[in-house]
Formats: sequence, C-alpha cells, structure tokens
Amino acid sequence: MLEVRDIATSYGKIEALRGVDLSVADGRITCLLGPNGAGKTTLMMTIAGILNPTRGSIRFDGAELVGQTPSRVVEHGIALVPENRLVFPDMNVRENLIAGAYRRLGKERAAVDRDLERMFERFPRLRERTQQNAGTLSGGEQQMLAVARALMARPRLLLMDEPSLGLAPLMVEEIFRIIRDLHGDGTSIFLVEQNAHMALQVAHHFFLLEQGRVTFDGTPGELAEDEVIQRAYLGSRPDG
Amino acid sequence: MEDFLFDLIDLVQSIADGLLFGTTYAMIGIGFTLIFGVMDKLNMSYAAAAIAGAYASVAAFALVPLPAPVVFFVAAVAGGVFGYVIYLLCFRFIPLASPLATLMATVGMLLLIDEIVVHETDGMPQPYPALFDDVMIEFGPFGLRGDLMFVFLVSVVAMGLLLYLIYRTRLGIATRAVSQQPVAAQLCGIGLERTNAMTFVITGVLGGVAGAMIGAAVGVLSPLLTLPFTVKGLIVTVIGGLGSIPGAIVAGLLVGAFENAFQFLRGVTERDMYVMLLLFVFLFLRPGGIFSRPAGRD
Repeated sequence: MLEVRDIATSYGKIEALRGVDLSVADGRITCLLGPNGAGKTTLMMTIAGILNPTRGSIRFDGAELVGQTPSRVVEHGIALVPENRLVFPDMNVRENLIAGAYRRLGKERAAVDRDLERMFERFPRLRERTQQNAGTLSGGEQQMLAVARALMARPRLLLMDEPSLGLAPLMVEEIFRIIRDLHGDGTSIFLVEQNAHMALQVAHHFFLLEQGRVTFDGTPGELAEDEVIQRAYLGSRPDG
Repeated sequence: MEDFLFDLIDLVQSIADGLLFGTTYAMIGIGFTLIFGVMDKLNMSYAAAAIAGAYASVAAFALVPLPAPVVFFVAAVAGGVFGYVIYLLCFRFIPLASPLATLMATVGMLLLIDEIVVHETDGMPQPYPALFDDVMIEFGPFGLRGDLMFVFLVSVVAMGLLLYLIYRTRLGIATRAVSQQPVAAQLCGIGLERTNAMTFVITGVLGGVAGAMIGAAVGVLSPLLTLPFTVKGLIVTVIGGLGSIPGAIVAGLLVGAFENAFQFLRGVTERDMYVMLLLFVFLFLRPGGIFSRPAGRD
C-alpha cells in the first residue's frame, strides 16, 4: 500500500533520515519503534508532505507522493494524527472535526454531517463537549479529537504519531482499543510509538528506526520483547 | 453650575461622535489583527492601502460621475485588489523566515503608496462624497450627525459580514485553523498560501470600506491621513490583543471615544498624546489586550 524507498530528510545540515526503506501493507497495523531522535516524527511529516525529502520516493497505491502538497496527500487517502495532537485550541470540538473534512466540505456536505454523527458515536466524550473549545479538553480527550479529526478526511491509511504520549494508563488502554477498532473497520494503520510493549500487542508488522535508518523489519514474534524495548528506548549497543 | 452642565453635554456629545467614528479605527485594527493572526506578520501598509482604495474610487468618480454608494463600493473592490497585490509583492515572494524582510517590505509599500498618492494629486486634498451630511437626529440637547451615523452603520454591517465569514463559512474555518495551528491546518488539507492570499483580499475589501468611510466622515482624502490611521490602527490592535477580532472592535470604539473626549477637554493638539498614554497604560497593565487577564507581575 505504502512504499517508502531510500528517503532522506534534512534540517539544514543535520540529516535526520538517512535512506529509509519500509513498506506498509493494506489492512494491517504496522508499527515504527525507535529511540528519541531516531527520526520517527520526521518520517511521518515527510510522508504527510509537510517536510520535503532530499532524495527518495514515497509511493501510495502506485502514486508518487514526494513533491506533492500536504492537501494532495490528504486527497490520496492518507491522514496523520500528529505528535502532541495539535488540535485547534480556540475552535470548538465540532469545528475541529469539520476542519478535518476540509477537502470534502464543498461538495459532500451531507456525507460530512453523517461522518460527524459517526464520530460522536465512536467517541461519546466528544459529543458531550461539542461546543467546548478544544484547548480546554483534557489530554486524552484532545487525543481522541485529533484521531477523529484525521478520520473526518476518510483516510484509507491512518498515520499516528505517538498517540499515547503523556496520557494516563487508562487512557493509553483506551487509545489502543480505538486503534484495534479502527483496524477492525478496515482502516490500515501506521503507528509510531514509544510504548513498545503496547505497540507489539497490536502490531502485525514492525520496524525499528535507529539514527535515521531502519535496523529491523519483521513481525513481533521474531525478536524478543526485551531486545525490542532495549533498542526502542536506548538504541543498539555498539557491540551488539 | 449652568456652564458645567453645558460642558458635560458637550463632553457626552464628543464621546458619542467619537464612538461613531471609532468604527473606522475598529475596521483598520481588524485588518492588522487578522493578517497578524494567520501569518504572524505585521502588514504596515494596511491603512495606506485602505486610504488608497478610497483614492481609487475618487479617481473612478472623476472619470464617470457615480452616485455615492457606488463610489464606496468601488473603494471596497479596489481595496481587495490592493490587498492581493500587497500579498504578492510583500509576502509571497519575500522569505517569510526572516521577520524583518516582510516588515521592511510593507513599510516600503506604505511609503510607496503615499508617494504615488502625493504625485497623482499634487499633494492636494481631494473632496470625498458623504451621505446624509445634512441630516441631524436630535435627542433633547444631543444630536447625532447623519453622515457619522451612516459611517457607523456601514462599518457595523461590514464588520458583521466579516464575522460571519470568519465564524460561519469554510473559508473562515481555513483562516482560523491556519492562525491557530498551521501544521495541523495543512494536515487537514488546508492550503497555506491560498488561505493567506484570501485573508489579504478579504482584509483589503474591509480596508477599502474603511477608507471610504474615513473619507465620508472627514469629507476629504489627504495623504496626511495615512500616518495617523496606521498608528491608531496599530494601537487598536495592541489594545484589542494581537489576533483578536472582538478585541479590535471594542478597542476601536474605545480609542475613538477616548480621543474625542480628550480633544474636547484638552484641544486637538494635545489629543494624540493621551491616546499614546492610553497605549502605554494597556501595555503595562494588559499587554495581552483588553480581553486577556491582567499582567502577572510579582
């Protein structure tokens, strides 16, 4: 479904991604694990079209995404739930969701309203807060809003960048329940996580990203969990 | 005692006139604040372009004698065109990462607009049409000038339309999304450049209306109007809180009433000194604007 080939992305002279190759299969939950600074968020932002790679190719169902604007990427059927949620703080919950469907607002207004109702069914806490500004929601509610906002674009592939970051354990459980539900409804998911333990429970396939390169590519059973956790938090030992 | 009463009546009258005229400050303030909101940049040429819009309508009027409402409409359209041109020249092709580049580009644009106006009019003030300037609505000892009432009503309608656009339409969603969280706005499929350009056109139209209303209230257009409206528009923006539209409206009325009260009490040459002092009072006590919480000083 998504094919990332030899992607390199730099911030000025610092090369954050140094030739990343990976692929995300249709109908699966794929995870990307790795220590802080490995380039996970950079990769997500590059796929979404916010950052431009210096080389490489990103294909989504055959269409090249490199060089496309973020709105074109959304139109191809990819939506990103960004790290730290990035809700629109002074817009209410309803307006945040409508913004998520921005590309569809003109011609599909009725469908957008139906999707809005569907989001409120899936996330009942958002319905209670429809008229409340997003900046006043709790962290967990903001995360649900960010997920729902991305879903309003009707993506075929949902990118999620550290959705459990900074949430209480109960809320983390809730977020992973939502991930399983979304997958059950047929959405493919590409998930970046710090919480390797939880991520390995939902992932069909996972990659390790270390210092801007993919260093492992396989299924959760192929690598002992404590080695994954060791490498996901700290990176490989030089001898190891 | 009787003198005091007459003075009081005159003071109230001055404040009422100031409130009516203050809507023009509010419109200029909204223009500064909206562009600052979406781009995090000041457009110093905004008030100059607003008055240039009014000048363009005078030029059209000189070619074909048009009725006053059409003249005002031409000013609004010209304002929108100028807004787009300023976006292209001062923002679209100027590196946005450098905060000084766009600021200096818009200061340059302000001076350029002024020079063009001075050149084209030989520096002579141009008469501007007004509506209802022979009407006076009287309430006991008070009277409301018909032309100022007209300026007030047009401004209120223009600001009402703008609020509708910002809070009730697809374009408004885009504008607010970009101003609150530009990265997330792009992830929602909202184009930054298109939204920025549209914001310049819309604020330009509002500026054109403001320029026409300034002309209608003052009775003439002069290059000497540019600087005071730039300064007062910026003061309104700061008092209202950068990025706040309701703040700009309230601050515009406040500055209008305040300056007219001090014009009555202390005379026209002292008036602006008190407006500047008002700015410093706000910067000290409410640096985030009229609707923010008081400054936390320990």
